[in-house]
Amino acid sequence: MRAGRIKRWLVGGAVALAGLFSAAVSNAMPVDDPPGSDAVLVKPALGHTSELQASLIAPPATPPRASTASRGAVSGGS
Amino acid sequence: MTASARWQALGTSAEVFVTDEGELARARQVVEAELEAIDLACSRFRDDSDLARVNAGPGRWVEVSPLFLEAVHVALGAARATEGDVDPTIGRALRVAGYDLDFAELPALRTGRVTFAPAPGWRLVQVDRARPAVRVPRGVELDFGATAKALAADRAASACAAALRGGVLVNLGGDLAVGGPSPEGGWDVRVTDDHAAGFGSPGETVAISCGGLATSSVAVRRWRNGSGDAHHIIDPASGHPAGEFWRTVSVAAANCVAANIASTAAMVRGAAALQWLDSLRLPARLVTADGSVARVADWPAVAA
Repeated sequence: MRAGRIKRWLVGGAVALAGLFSAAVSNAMPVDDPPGSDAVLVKPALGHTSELQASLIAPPATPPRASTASRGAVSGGS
Repeated sequence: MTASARWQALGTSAEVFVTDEGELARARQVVEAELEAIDLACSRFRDDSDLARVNAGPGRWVEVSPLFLEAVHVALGAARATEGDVDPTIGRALRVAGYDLDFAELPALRTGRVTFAPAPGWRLVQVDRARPAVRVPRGVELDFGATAKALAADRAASACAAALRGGVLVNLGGDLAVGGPSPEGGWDVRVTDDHAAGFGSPGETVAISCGGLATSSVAVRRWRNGSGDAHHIIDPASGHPAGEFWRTVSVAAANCVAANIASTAAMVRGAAALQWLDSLRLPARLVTADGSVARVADWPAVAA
């Protein structure tokens, strides 16, 4: 009798957890697109992170050079 | 002989340098117009911005401006290129950490318990380019702090170069973009911890002639919350303010957006940033918490 009660608790707990998980997933995942929408998930045209890095985070055509100037712009955190 | 104008905007300073002094007033007008547009599109602190409307309407499509669409494209590209180290879905994490007001209005000490959570992830952001419209799921809040200001600098520099005689350097709170021809020898830039500290503050001076330069630092925009010290650079993987292996990172790149993406990601990546920046051949200067300096790629040694 006691084993049966424990089994029911376990089953009930599993169902409750599955419900909570389902609710969490439904909140976290993208919702369906509306009918007729041409909405698309953003997918960068380049397939590999390394290619995207090379194109999006490219070095300057000319690197900085050292300067002894005493005035100009300031780059720092903001 | 160059000329410059400086004013306050976007919760920080704005500055424009021109090679032709006669173009200074028009250059400022162009930059101001760009700043107003980016603020209306991307501000987290005004209810009528595209970004605030998207954040306020989780689960439904929100029509946005073409400029916001461009900002989303840049932010999601940054996330992809950095494998999520620069992620626009950190909005909630920033707010929970206590950065829920314009920084000028933020009290130095925020009370109350803080619960950190990882950023939900940029892949959850949906974009309809045709309308254009954006949709985020419940629980996702966008923040473009790592990319919008740099985007504004790039756009303003390009707009000035197209409309004016000569060249310009646009500086938005330390995010710099070059437009048009540079003065002989390039634009001189002091690289330091705090953009507001002045040209004489500790750091190095370099000259740039193209592209952009950006600096990220945990020496600024700091506050205290119920969990201790906090700052504005969030590690999306944990939702916590990023570790402070680097105090300040400056990067030069093909444009200001690229420079800012790289400097922000480097702050999040810590020691691993050295190899990453070098692999991309990005000239960079990194300063550790104790003041040691590392230079990467073609970042120059200090001038004698």
